[in-house]
Amino acid sequence: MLTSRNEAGYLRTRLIETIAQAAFEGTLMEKIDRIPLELRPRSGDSSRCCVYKDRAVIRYRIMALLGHAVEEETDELRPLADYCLESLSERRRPSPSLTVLDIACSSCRDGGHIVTDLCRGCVARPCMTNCPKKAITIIDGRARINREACVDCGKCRQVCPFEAIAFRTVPCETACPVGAIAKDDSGKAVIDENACIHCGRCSRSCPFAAIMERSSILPVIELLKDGNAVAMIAPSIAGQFPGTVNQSVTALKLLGFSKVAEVAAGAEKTTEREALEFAERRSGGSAIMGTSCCPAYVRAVKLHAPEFAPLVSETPTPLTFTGREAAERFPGAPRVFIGPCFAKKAEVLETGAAEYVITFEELGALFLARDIDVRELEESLPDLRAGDGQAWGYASSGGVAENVARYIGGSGKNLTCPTVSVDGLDRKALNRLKAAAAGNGPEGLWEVMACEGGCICGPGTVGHPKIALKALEKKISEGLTEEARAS
Amino acid sequence: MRTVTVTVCTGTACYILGGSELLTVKEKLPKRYSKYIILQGSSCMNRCGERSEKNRPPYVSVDGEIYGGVDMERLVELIMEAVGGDVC
Repeated sequence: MLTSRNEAGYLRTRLIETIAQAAFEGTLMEKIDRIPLELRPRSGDSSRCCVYKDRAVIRYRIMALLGHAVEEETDELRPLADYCLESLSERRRPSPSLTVLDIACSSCRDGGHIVTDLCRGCVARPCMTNCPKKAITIIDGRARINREACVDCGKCRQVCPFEAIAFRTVPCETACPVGAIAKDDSGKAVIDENACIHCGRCSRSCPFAAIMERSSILPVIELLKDGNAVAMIAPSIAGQFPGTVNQSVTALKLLGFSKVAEVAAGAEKTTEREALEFAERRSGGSAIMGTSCCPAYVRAVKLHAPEFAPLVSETPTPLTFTGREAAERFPGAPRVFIGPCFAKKAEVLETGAAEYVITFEELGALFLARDIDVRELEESLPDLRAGDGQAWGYASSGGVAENVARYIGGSGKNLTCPTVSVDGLDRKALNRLKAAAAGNGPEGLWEVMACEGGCICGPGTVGHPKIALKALEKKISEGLTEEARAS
Repeated sequence: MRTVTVTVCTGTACYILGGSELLTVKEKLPKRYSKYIILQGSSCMNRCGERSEKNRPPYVSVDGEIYGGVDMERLVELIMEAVGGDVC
């Protein structure tokens, strides 16, 4: 797995900034087809084989940033300005499906253990003797792995004294928790939309950054120019930007949002409702309930572990509750959810809880485009706020179940709520859910987070998870102190 | 060996372009270095407009000397060099 911030991430954020700057100025239509040339001048360095290839890749990145799928291109000569016009005129909401930049994809070769040139065909042959499947033979003084027999257990790699055995991996395929990525005839990655859960892990693990989300920044910038949009901020915003959350609130207002709503406010309602739902289910004899707020996991259950689906809570997500309240409190104002998550784009298409979704990375790029330095701003209070700050805990793994369990424990009926945390979705986690549905799992509230670590580790984040967790804990404790002072 | 002041720029550009990760640098250093490091964030160093490889966010200053385009590995190197000597 790549570190959260790397060269590919740097280039992507800066490209979003460049596009946003021109969009705010109203010069995007004139400039857009020149941007690839300006970012990769003929005399400059290239990231790939040459500047021309870099420019082509930037062109496709821009298409994704305009909300288009690279796969929909039918004419390579179609100007970007055309795509731009289309996005602007319809202010369209892009599909949540990720897009593969086929020319950026390196067609990584299939994975598995391979013997490298470091092999000396030694006499001890620990690889051969330790292989549980007898998949290794020594031919011409060198170990060979029989791919048919090999199960990629890795024992040979561990015991080789020359470190001659390597594991060749295809990062996107390895990262995908549901096996939704395959290769076409030319070896390029292809995403099966009917299996994809929009967790975004492939896009952030590809070292060529060849998989991108389709962005809504263009229509959102238009809303900001209109000046009446509501920003609904996910609790995981803590630690994404320098300074405090309430300084980020000021930054959002400077950017052009008219109102700011904490999605933590909706999380309080989710907690309450989920606690009631769990109590009802328990009295009905069902002792396992899965949380409902992570859309990538909910979709994964639907598509890949349907036996667990009846156990998933039907309680609306914090975003849904917040979207409803924002619509009541600020009638007519378009709502933009700002979070760490790609899967929320699919969620709002289903629920209508927000008009658009953008990520923290995109928001950060908008701040840069408008030269807003969050750290230097005064604080301001959001227009829609959560109570004591506990609900902010939803942003990290364990926090959702903790909130619900605390609510149940505090309800005065002498009830307890056992909790189970499934921290990060993978094949094993899906199997755990299937087993639980078959009655082989501990009873309790099962909190499932698709991203290991929770939302603060989502694909759309820019703050380091450890720093974000510290900021989050601070936000929660400040909320508690404030509440105590008020009462 | 000596005590070194490490200042990570936490202007918005530096912070979101890798600076927040650099704030976790102590975890990447051998433990015995910790007591020689004063780690702090700073307001914008006003150099984020530049975009060349060495002059770009995130910026870090090690004992007053400013470096641009710093990643975690580079920062660890810079710190170990600045602390110097046999650290034990």
